[in-house]
Amino acid sequence: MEDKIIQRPGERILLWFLLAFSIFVLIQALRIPHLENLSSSGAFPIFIALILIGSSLRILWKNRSRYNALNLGEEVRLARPFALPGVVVGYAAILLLYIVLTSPLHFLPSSYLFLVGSFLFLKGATLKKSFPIAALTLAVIYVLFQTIFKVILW
Amino acid sequence: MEAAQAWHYFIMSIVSIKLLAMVAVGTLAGIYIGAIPGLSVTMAVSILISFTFSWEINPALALMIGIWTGGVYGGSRSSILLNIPGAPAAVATGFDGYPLAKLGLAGHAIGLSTTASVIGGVIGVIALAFAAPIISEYSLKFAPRDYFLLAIMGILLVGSLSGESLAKGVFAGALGVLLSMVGMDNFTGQGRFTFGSVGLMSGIHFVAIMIGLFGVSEALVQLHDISLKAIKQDVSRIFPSWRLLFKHMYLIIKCSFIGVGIGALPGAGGDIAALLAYGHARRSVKKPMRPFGKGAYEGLIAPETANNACIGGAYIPMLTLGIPGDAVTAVIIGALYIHGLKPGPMLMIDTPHLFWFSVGCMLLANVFLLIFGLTGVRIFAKMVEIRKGLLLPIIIIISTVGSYAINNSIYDVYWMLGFGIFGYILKMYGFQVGPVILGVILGPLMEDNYRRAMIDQHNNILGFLSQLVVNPLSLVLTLGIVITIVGQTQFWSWMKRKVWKSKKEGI
Repeated sequence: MEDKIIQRPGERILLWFLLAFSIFVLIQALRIPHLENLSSSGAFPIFIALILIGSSLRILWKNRSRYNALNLGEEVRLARPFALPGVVVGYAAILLLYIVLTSPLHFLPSSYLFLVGSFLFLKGATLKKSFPIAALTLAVIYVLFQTIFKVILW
Repeated sequence: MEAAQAWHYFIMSIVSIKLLAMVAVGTLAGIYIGAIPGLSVTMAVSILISFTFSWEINPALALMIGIWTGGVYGGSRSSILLNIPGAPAAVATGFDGYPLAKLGLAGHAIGLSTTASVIGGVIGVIALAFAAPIISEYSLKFAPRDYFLLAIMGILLVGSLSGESLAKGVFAGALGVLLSMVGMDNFTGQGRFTFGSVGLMSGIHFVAIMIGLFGVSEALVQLHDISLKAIKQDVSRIFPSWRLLFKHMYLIIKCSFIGVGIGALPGAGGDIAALLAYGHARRSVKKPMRPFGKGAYEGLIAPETANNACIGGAYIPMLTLGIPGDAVTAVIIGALYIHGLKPGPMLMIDTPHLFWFSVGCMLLANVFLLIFGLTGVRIFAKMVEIRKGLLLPIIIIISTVGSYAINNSIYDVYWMLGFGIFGYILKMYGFQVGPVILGVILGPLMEDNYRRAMIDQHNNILGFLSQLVVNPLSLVLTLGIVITIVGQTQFWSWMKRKVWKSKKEGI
């Protein structure tokens, strides 16, 4: 099944990153104090870290020929349009901005700006329609969650 | 007396207007959520549980059961109308459902899929009501090592069946277990992976992880085909004829049992049940009304019956063993934990009302499924055509509110965003996020039972390993794990080829 899967640009880079992360987890697990027996606090984390390392190595090894189809430079170049196309990067930036601003600006103003911005960016609605749709959406969300679900919105 | 009490709890959802309304609202919402491509039932339940923290368990459970039942069925709508499955369980529905829609029979296909789903769902509930008490009694004999093995098996099965490779599934499952270990150790109070942060001592809330992985990451994945336009469909006639229904009753019953059986297996969910049932229909129906893949009614009935029957089946290991069958059951187990309940063998003894109440709600949800499924199809057809540019920002806002509602803390929103982006990258490179959630939920169960089993053996590794093969039940589970792992290796393929070749030569 795996042989039929074409190479995804950037997969090898991700796997090396995950392997490095797994080794870091193992080091952290080994630093958990009182590792005197197999039922101590650190034993199970070490076991899990070893599984993480083993499975990342297994994926890298099993797909080595597939991953070698592209050299590192090509892979880096092709990874962006594959995993991070403009629309995803742009929207992730809007999302990040929203999450950062939501605390100082509070829920309603920040969410309103986010909705209008998102509708325009994703071409969900025209400029004229975006403002009332965002207001209506927020009104429904506010009433629903504040009254029915008793969520205290910040 | 016990039977009378069980009956009382069973009809509780019907006699209480509030609970009845919760099941109805949940089912209706589930159908719509499931029908919209990009909105999965797992996503809906994940986001929803954060809002029901402050509720009593009964209305929360009634709502979640409704959403789940409606959501599994709702996925078939977009599969039939747009050939885009609303949920993984509806993938097989599109094989013959969409060709039927292309023949101008979309309404007919929806009506038939609704009735098949309801019959399958009811058979699943009946199976749950009969099987769960028996299995629950048996599961009292399970030792800690058996729970440890069951948890491993659950993650391995989900990993091997839902993704492109077992290694990726194992990595995702182990990652989930790792996330569950962040914070204070339950046994010793020792901080683990906290990096000196007091905030991390209480761990990362699993709901924030779930909303990030299922809500935000899915929204980001959906951006890839943001400009895809929906095709308009004719949905004028939806009620199926009795003759057609009775003609396929035998197939419906057979596929219901496939659904129940697959649902009861830890790790196998509605998607696998539906595909297996479709395969069964292809093999067993010699003279379909149209060729399979070109609008055969049998090819629509089989997966739809099985994926809804699967719900009752999936409840069996969830309530009796505390082992989730798939991502949705993992989320529901999490919800039960939040409400102070512990799914497992003691649940049926300590809180039998919860079991019979769930059975009642599931049955009721199927009744509502029939009502809502056969009405309002025109509005439905409009709903599935909603533009993603409008839908995705709303999902993000609801996810944000859901994450914030966990602890009224903005930090949970940050976690949600982090896991959302991380989940997106994992998905883009063929990793499934289902095993991550299963790992998060099963991690504490797995570790606690491993440590108990190890303490029982005085920390002797040989004693621990020998227990895995000496006890008959443990041996069965150990063999299950070994077969799952070996089944994914080249050695297994080589063996199969060899056996096949020798068989052929023998003939």
